[in-house]
Amino acid sequence: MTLRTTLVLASAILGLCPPVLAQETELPPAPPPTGEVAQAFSRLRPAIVRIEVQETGADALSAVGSGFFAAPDGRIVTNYHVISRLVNDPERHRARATTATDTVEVKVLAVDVVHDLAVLDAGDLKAGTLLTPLLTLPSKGERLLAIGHPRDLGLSIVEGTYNGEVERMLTPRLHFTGPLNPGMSGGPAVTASGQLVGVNVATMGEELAFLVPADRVAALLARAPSTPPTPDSLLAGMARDVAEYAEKHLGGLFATGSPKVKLGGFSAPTEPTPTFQCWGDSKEQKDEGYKVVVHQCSTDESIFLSEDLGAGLLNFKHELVQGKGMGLIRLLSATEAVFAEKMFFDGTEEQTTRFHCESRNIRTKALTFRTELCARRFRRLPGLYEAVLRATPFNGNGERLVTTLNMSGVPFKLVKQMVERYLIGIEAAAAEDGK
Amino acid sequence: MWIELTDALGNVLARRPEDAVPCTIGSARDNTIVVDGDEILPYHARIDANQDGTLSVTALGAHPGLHRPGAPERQPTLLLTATAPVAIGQAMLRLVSTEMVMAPAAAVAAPEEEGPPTGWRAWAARKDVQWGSALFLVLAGMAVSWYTVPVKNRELTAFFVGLFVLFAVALWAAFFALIGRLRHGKAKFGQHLVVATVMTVVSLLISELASWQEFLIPAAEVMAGLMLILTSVTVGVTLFAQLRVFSTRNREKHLRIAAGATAVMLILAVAAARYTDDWSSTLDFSAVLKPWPVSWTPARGVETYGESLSKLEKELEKDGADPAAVISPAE
Repeated sequence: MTLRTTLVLASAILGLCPPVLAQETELPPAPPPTGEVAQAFSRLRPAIVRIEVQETGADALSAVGSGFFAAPDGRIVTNYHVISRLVNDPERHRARATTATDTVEVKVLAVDVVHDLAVLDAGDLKAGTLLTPLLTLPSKGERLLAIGHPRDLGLSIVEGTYNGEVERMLTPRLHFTGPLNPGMSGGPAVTASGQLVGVNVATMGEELAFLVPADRVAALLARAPSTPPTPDSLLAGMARDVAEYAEKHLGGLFATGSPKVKLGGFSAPTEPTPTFQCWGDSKEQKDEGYKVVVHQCSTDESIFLSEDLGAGLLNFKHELVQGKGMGLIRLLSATEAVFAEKMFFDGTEEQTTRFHCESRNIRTKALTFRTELCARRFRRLPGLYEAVLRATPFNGNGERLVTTLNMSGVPFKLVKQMVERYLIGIEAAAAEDGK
Repeated sequence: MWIELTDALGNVLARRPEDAVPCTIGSARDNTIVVDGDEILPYHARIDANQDGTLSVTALGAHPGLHRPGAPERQPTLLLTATAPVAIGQAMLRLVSTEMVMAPAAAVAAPEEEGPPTGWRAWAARKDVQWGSALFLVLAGMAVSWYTVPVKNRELTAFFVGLFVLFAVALWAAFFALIGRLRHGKAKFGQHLVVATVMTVVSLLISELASWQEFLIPAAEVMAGLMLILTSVTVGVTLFAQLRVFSTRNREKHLRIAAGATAVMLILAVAAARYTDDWSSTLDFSAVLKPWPVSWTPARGVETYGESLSKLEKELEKDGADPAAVISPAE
């Protein structure tokens, strides 16, 4: 049974088409598009490509996304996360771009890992239509059209609404209210007149989706070389971008005067910038006879490096162990249990070194801490590290504070600065109050 | 004639009149002639008088047989004569004439017998001390649990900790009883409870060692080394005591065993200290926050904290820097 016959039968059963179509007759040609969206789709279709990444060993698909022509020489723009396997493991992967008529192998020309963009060289494949970035943002509420290959089901167009720049995010993102689906990543979101507003990048479901602003596309196209760089130099460039991002967004955190939260007899850093989200909880240890009050903050976003690894993430957690009446030794044992709590990370042995740790007793003006700093190096991204500081002050009346600071994908210089500032930021609340 | 046992150097270990038979030779204390040695069994041989007045030596137990010095053939029984000695391990058994015996017969005796224990050994050998020491440790374990473990049901936890300590002491006592039985053919559980108690304490200290050493900053390596040596010496001394190295008998042999055991422990300790974990994406934190190590440990000013992490940074740079150690993505 041919595919066509199957489709006709299925249509007949579902009652979607008149019974006459069950006969083996040629379908009439589609009429020219009349609606605004249909016209836009027809106009933009030649600019859109399907991007697929294949694992060469298994000769099987490992990622599918979308892309679009953005330069007359055939350069294609997509999301970095669509082709991240090709960048991270070029020996085991290859990527291809498919238009309505052709399929060609593509090479990576440039990557903007911070904004999740990539420029690909499509060789002889030339653009049918070019999408030019709109460098000024549209008005909030304007209708946008997003195009791509949702779940690899074929090129689709969806309507949505532009809802301005997303606040409380470190990397600029545009808020698109519309049904983006996996596979549409890397496709364009355009105005009704066909001007590029952004690149489809992420969705949180319920029509809550995000776009990379078009000006980032223009910036990446401007710096993309004409020939593909070596995989190592591509990775080194990514590492530099991530390091710059970390310096810019995390470098100034925990400076003097940063917001503090009072936890028992301590005051400790909280929500250093509006891009952090903080929340609290308390855990009653029923069998152990003590209580742990938790206050934690996170940037809530990280730079996608690979399926296993992120960067530019910073989060911290304060845990106040309260056990009045337990006696000092038992309270310290409880604190030990909290301090020794394991942490689980993503990543593989190919991507990072193992954790190396160093223990110190550190004295600030206010307190003396027991600290343990553990760090690992990103093997393929030179100069980037993941570090975790866990510290506990020796002081506390019937309570002990255990605090954890986690930084991912940051230069070691930044680790050194951050741990100092972070510890200085923890003080005895009584001293601060002048009691 | 006299039955004479000499060591490899010809030193007389024991003499008995030839008519004082039958008699047994071995390392067990209830033999007529007690002799220690690597190749000597607890009940090694027996000397009997034959009907014709000659003496014969018969191998006992699982002994592969007796032989003449220099002759490899083993036989279950050999005739004992003045000209044909019988090898007993490294020692030699023969008949000697009365004239050759310089010392009067009355002076001939077994080699220097260890008398009843004296001093601290006598105290430690008392049954009440043996059982008392184990009981003391169990109670001490329960008390430590009561005052340190942060649980609500302290009674039950203390009970289980006491049980655990009792089990540890029992294991050591059984171990020493087994050794005693192998060496002397007689040793009972309960005879070594003092040593078992000491060994339990030492074991618990060793288990604490790993976390303690990380607290001894800044000279963590030096202090860890000192702790290892101290622990090894403690273990060694305990072993010395158990092997009765302080007795005059076979001092050299016992010293060799104890030195060997100490060396093995040291090697194991150093190997454990140098052991590096395999790669893992799970991060374990060590935590010893009890007050006493804290008070011993100097604190560094926070303004130099970052600077002090340069060593860690170098360690990370070295990790995987060797191309051979880096896993190729193509593999």
